[in-house]
Amino acid sequence: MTIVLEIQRFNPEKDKEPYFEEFDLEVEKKDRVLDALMFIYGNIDGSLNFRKSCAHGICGSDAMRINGKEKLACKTLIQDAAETDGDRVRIEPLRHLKVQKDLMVDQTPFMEKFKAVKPYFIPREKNIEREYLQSINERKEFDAATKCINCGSCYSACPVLDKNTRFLGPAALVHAARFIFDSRERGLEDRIKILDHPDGVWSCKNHFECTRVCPRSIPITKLINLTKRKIKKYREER
Amino acid sequence: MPVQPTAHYAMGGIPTDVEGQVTTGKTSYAGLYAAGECACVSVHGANRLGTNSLVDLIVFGRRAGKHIADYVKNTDSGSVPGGIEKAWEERVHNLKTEKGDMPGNYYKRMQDIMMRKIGVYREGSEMTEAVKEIKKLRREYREIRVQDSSKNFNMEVLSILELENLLDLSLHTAAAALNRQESRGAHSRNDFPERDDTKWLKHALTLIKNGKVEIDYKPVDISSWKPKPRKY
Repeated sequence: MTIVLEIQRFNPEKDKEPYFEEFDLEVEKKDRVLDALMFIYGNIDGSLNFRKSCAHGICGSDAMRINGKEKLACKTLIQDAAETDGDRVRIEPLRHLKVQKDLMVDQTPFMEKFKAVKPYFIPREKNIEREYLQSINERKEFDAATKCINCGSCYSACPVLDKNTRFLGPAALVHAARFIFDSRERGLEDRIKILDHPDGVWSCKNHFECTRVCPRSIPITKLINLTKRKIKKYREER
Repeated sequence: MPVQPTAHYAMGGIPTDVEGQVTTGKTSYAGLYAAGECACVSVHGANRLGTNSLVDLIVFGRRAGKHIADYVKNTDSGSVPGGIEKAWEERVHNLKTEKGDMPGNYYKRMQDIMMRKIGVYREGSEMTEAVKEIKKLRREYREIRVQDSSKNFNMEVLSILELENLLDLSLHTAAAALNRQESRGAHSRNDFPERDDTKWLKHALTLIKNGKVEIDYKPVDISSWKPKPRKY
């Protein structure tokens, strides 16, 4: 089938502002959107810039907006974005991050917020003599939170970030949850200041847009709410 | 979601000792290290078992890191041979300044040749063709030019340089596969279906020189584990 890809272009060395460029393509229904982008890049316009790496939904590099919704280009089939010949597919970069070129955005603020929640294992004891034991149920508490690949889809979709650019954002909060609900870890003790803050968990207003777009099906809003509850309990106990 | 076979892991790689130092056994390269999937200590032989790729990272990545820290403390900083910087600047400049081919077709041909002729089930005459075709692609690669001359975030230059590396690796893989006249681990040949420990229980090392592949061998250490037929 034929589709028309409308891709947002922007080269800061040449353009004053972003614009849309159209490409007519012959594609198969079960091709992925990433295949279409790769075809354009390899055979039509080599200046089309986008990030990609594993091309099978694990690295999170090719998150972008496809027909207005945040998705991984390698996991979106053409048939998910277009129905019949001549259908238009709109491709735009993620929101809330500065566009570096075409579909590439500056991930620095996103990664800084990720680092700010201390996304690494802080053991309860200083000198660990043997491995930690953890039950299946204890593991279940934070299992979903381990799935985050930092693709940025949730960060782009979150309406809070439209106005409050200092909000930590959904992904950072997921990474915090991964550790604070881990029975082996020091948890909230080391992260309370950054989480229990107006720009931390309390900025989340339950829009659920993050949960809607997460390509790893992480129940993000739920994890944030569980974190809020845990913080309240922590405060009451002191 | 389409379900298709794909290359998931590469056995073999840059030969190293257990500290991650690159060495062929005959020649050592002081200060050059490799660890992970790109390296070959070897811990996997002809077929890596599931989850054992972690060993490459956690054990040998760590050992290499420690050895590097030591090496760096006890060695002079050395110097880069003259002309290298200029050679690379010229190379990138040439990619940007002339008209030429786009890379798409070259990628496709490389993928097709490797998937069909150096795939899961291999056969001598197909592999012979593959080696010829890859050598031809490597020569024709010189025709590729870049369309995007921008200085920053130039993905095109990066991926065209990577394509050259991919073509080199394709030639190493194809030549080594053609050369090994037996089946062993992931290397399955319809024309040599049995494993031949008498002739082929050895590592092969490939080197590309002037467009041709030279092959050398290294013995396998079987002092701890003797090879046996796989019967489970």
